[in-house]
Amino acid sequence: MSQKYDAIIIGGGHNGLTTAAYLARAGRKVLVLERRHVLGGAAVTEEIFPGFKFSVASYVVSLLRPEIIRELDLARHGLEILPLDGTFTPMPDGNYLWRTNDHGQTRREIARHSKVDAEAYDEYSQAMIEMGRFVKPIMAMTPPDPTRPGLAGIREMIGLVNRFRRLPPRDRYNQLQLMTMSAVDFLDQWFETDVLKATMSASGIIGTFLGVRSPGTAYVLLHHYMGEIDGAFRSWGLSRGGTGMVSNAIASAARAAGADIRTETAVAKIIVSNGTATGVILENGDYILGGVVASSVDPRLTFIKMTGVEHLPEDFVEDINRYKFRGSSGKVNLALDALPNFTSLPGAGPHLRGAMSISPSIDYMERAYDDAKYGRFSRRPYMDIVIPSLTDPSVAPSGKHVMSCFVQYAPYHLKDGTWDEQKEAFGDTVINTIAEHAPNIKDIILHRQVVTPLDLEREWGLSEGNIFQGELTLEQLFFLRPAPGWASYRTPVRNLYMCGSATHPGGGIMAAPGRNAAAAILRATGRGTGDGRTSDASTSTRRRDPWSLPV
Amino acid sequence: MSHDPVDVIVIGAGHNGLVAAEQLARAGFSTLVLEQRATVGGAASNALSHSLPPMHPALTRAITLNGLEWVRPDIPLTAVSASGRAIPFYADHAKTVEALSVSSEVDAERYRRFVGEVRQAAAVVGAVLEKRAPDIDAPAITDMLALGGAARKFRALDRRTAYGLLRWGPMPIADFVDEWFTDDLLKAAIAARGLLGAMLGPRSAGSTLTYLYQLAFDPHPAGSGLTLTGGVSAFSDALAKAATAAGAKILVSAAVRRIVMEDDAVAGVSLESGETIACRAVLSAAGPKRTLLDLIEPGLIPPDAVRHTQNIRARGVTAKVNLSLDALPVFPALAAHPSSLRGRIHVGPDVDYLERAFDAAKYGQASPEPWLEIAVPSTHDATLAPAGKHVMSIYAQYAPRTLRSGTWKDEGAALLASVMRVLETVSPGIAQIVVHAEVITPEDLELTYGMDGGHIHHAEHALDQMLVARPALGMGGYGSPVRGLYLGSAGAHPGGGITGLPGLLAAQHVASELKRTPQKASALR
Repeated sequence: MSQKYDAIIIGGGHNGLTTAAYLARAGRKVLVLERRHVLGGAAVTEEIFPGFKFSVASYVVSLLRPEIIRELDLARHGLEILPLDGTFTPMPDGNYLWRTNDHGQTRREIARHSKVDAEAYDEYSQAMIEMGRFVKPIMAMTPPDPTRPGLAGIREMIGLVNRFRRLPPRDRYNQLQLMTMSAVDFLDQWFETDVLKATMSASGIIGTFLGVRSPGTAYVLLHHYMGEIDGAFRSWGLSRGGTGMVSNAIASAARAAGADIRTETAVAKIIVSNGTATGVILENGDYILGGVVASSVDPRLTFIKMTGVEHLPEDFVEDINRYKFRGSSGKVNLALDALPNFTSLPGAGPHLRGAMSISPSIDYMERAYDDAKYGRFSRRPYMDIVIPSLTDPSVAPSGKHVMSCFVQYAPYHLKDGTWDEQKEAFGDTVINTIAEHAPNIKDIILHRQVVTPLDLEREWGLSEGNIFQGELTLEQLFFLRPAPGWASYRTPVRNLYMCGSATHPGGGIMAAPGRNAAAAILRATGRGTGDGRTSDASTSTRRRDPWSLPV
Repeated sequence: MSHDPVDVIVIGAGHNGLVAAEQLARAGFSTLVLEQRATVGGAASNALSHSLPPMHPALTRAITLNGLEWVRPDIPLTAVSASGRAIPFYADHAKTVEALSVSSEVDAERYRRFVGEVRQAAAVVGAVLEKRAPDIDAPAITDMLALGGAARKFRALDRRTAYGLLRWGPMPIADFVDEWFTDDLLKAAIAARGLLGAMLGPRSAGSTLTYLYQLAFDPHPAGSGLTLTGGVSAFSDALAKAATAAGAKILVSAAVRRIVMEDDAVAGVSLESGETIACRAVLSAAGPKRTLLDLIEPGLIPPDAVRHTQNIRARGVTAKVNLSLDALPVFPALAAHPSSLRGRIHVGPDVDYLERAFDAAKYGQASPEPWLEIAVPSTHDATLAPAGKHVMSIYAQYAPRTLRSGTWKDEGAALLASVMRVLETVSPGIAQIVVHAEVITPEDLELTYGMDGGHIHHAEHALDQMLVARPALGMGGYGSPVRGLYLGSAGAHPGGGITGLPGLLAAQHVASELKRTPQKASALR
């Protein structure tokens, strides 16, 4: 193996590919290494059953940063976002709540439940847009180190404070609450309709091990609201051909810029010599040299498994070991012979084209969480269901459908038994829960795939099955993500960078970590000329014996 | 009949009202305190409290209290379990470390580090809390200097503790204690301190913040469990004496009905008795909701302010049970630590137990198995009970202010039964020595003691209800939407606990405002 790269990216998920694309466009010689046979990581499309293509893990797109779509020209590389219109929440009493992107229609629908809430909905939507505007620039920021901020860091922090102070008082008030309150407490201030609050609060808990009443979940509401504010696409969307097409488009952009991408190439170790990363060793024993190594896999894999604690400061290892994953969700993917028929709104109406949310009440959400707290999957889980084949017929044989059910809570750590033993029981629980609202579901299932948190860990390398590569909780956000003092995409190992969802601003098909990391790498290694002789890389090539193999 | 006009009327003779009155009277303002109950003290009384934090240096500097005899238990807290285990938290940390090392060297060593790290972190939190919260719209130089002091303390922390502080605040205390300790009972005892009074379970994010808050006023990890000869009431009595000596007048059994406004400003108060008293300013030591929503006539406050006040989260979850006992209660777990009874006792074996107790509250029910903090004040103060008899004071959590079914009038007995059931597991046979039981429900705390939502801190200690945002953003500087009305209860910065600081800081603010507009109160039109 004589080939030498400027940058080796570990993991071919959307973030790794994004870092690769940006580095390649800056003229760097880039190699992406993906362990699986297919690119995309959790943003992947796979034909699990013949003719049925599933977005096996991540299933909707809304957070993908518009600047990335623009800069990488993803549309040209095949990305097409199809609108996913509305959220339909069936209720056990035969009623339902159906919000759509048509503001007027949604207002009328909410007014059916509460006139007061319909009024508040306008105000709420406006407030969330303002909040989103405030938070948006933070997404593209490299978090400063608050304990040793330095001039640039102080400037950034003062800038943040000043922007906060310039907000109108009401927005300031909302912002403060949003950063600290629970989703339910926050929504309680606006709305009285239980089912509305339950459904809205659901986005506050996704990927966390928190309940809708736990402080800090209001922020995640905003995190999920971001997609709706950029004008690129006003709400949640599906990627034509499944979410894997997002990754494929980014990969195509990266390749077009000259990046090499290899699948079925698992990295075993990161080569560290004298505190500097100089390349990787593959599981097959081959090694590849690189000026920079950027890991898009999570910190546990990156540091504990691939780097080795012997190369890391003790404090840092302690922080990484303490970093919380605690996956709390699973996925059930169904191949259907026909469409589900909801008791509360029968027929194949447009409500099936949006998201279907099983979140009939706040108590329902809380009880689902209570089960998880004590180590079992929810007996009646929260679910977010989509039927992509209604919007994008290419993913299923004619007349048939694919249905994707995101399910929470499914705690990685079970009190009794293992996930392999519980897997089918979990799948049954999900089907039974759907059947309470759409009784025909059991008759129309052709195939069923159950993805447990353990599967997410084994197959996708997501430690403890956390879909965001670590909980999105306040103590693991911004300058604390993934570890205090290491939020700048750098690591204690020179030339080793992090570029995955475990870095600021976190998970979801956002690709912002990948882009921010690329910027950090380019800053640190100089805006190179493209001949591969960047400052870091040239240092390591000058050395006679640049690395030694860790055994 | 009418009282002479005064400069300032203080509503409520709890510790904050009394501190404020003393300060204002001593600054030369004629001050009248109106208390709806027949005695002074509010929650700082033996019926409601069995311990208090050390007197804060700011308070010590401001007020001289005579005749206080502090009682400092050797073992401020002992966690006991039904299986007979006990973990004593000594005032002397070295002894705690030694006691812990018997069962776990790891926990013992961690505890030693823990004491130091939380003390450092608490000092920073304390530096922020003891000063007036800065106004984010127009920060004054003094505000910035005060914050600068806190920032310097922050920068002086070692990097790990600094980051710890940033990380800990938003964390669930269950995760926080998991990071430090291995022993379930040890974890539960520490976690419980952060939960007392809060509508939070150990797995609720932000519950570590409430713990850091407690530490800021008393850095002992389990609380120093201080009290006074004569109990906590002795503290309020001393404050009342000091206030009177400074020239303030205190009227008890004088419930305020309305704050009277003229020309959009406070002009006086009217009492339930029909009497009206004119004043230049009102400092309310009742909860902010009670003050702004009940005592001000509706329609006189801007709708936004009403909405923000209504949205202040104050959902009380703590009930108080007072038992009169025929004999000294026996806890088998304390056989090896007889002096434990002079401190407090924690009952609640593990973090999941605390969380389960909280689960009930989420659904509007009192916990069938509450966790308890117990004290037997008569062990160190013979004046509290006849010879050979004892009084036991118990905090029981969770007892939500708003029950989904039933009312507190009916549910008090059920709550007592739950408390007795739990008590029986750690002190078998205790039911036989109970001669009298009193249950103070969150409803009583709200209606009788003027605590918003029956919440012992008048408003939840949460990130969005602290500092400049306490009780609500825009009301952070002890002012209110009404000219001449000031908020100085636990619902104001820095918050709850028997510290007197909200009253002290509010009084300083009122004094400076009144000095700017020197005029006499005129009789009400």
